[in-house]
Amino acid sequence: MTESAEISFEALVASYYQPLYKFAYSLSKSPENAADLTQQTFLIYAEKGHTLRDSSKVKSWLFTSLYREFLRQNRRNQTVTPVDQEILETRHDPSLTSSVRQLEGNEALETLATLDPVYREPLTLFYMEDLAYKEIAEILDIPIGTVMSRLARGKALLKKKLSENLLK
Amino acid sequence: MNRQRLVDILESYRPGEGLEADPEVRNALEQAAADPEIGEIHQQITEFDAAFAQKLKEVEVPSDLQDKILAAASHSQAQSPEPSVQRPISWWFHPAAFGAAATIVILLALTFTFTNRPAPTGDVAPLLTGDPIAATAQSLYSSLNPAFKSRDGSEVLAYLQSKGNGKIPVNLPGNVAWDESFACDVVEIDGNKVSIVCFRAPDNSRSMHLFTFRKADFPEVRVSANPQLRDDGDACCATWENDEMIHVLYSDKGRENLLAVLDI
Repeated sequence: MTESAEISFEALVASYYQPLYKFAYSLSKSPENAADLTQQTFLIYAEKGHTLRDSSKVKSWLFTSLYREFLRQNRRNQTVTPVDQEILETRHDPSLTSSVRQLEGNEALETLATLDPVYREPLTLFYMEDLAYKEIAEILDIPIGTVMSRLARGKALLKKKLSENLLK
Repeated sequence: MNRQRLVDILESYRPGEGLEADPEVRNALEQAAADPEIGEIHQQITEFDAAFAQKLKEVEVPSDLQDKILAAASHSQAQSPEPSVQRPISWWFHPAAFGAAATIVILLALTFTFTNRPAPTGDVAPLLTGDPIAATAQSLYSSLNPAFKSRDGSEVLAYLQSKGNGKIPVNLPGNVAWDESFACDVVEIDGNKVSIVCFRAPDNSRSMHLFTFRKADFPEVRVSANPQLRDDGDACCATWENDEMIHVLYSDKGRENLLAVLDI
């Protein structure tokens, strides 16, 4: 690895290890596994990153690699979850937003982690605000329209969970 | 457009995505601008999203993670070979575990054939001298540069099946799934094939390697059906036979991984 490549790699790690860790945490629900997944993702990049011709795709490439690595590691544990078709009346009121502001960061992530992966994955990427919808669609390998419909339903489910937690 | 559809559109809307080009989205935004009640919902959606996004920004990331990543990458890089058309003598995993035996192993690898296997000498490490099959595997290991690498275990399996022509088994030890494999090769020496599979060790620390030989190619060698373990410093291998095949499972980092894989 040349010196310039080392600098570049260090800059890459510095730029993306935090959002990657958070995404990994939401996938794995475990700090240890999230750290391992994040580390593994950068090792994959160190090994294969030179094949990436478009440097503007690095961020998306890293998230995609992390997601695929997670799926690979958990392939044997995966179950197909039927999508809940219950019609949800989304709650919209300032008190819910106020209660979110009272949460700790990890509490917010833990609430997100209670959702089905179908909704949790796009929601996490959406709330991290690091990725465009097109990139989220590429990472999760679903159409943009599906990203949007899952965001809408996922937010409704998230607000329902938060409301239930408020009542406890 | 009914109210639920309107809310769904506003929930999934994010400025800067170019969604306004969609007539339905544009219509929803116009309604939010024109209707105070819808406008209030849109406002609350925006505030909720901002609050939740802020909370995710506050999620704590382990303070030492960045350093660990850089250290692991540096360590991994130090063990990687320079690309080469020819098979390098030094491998893409660090051979330090072999210590003084490395030079001898390399020489053995260069002269190795099935009909003229390396004769152990007094300078050869215990792992080499104790077991000719293990010595052969170690020779192959020292010069190995797997022809096929993939993070998809099914591709590794498919490659082995295509190269083995049914003569080389493609089974992994009981506790290893193909998902853990990442590289393989089928080496042909004097017309005899040896399969090699590289896979992640159970503790994820290093890689492990399974060499599979045909028993017919070693007619004078007797191998137990129960795995026989041999150590050489940090390196360790297990040799056993079944179904007309001889297997050597090799780890360059202790026997714990071997025991875990073999469930013994």
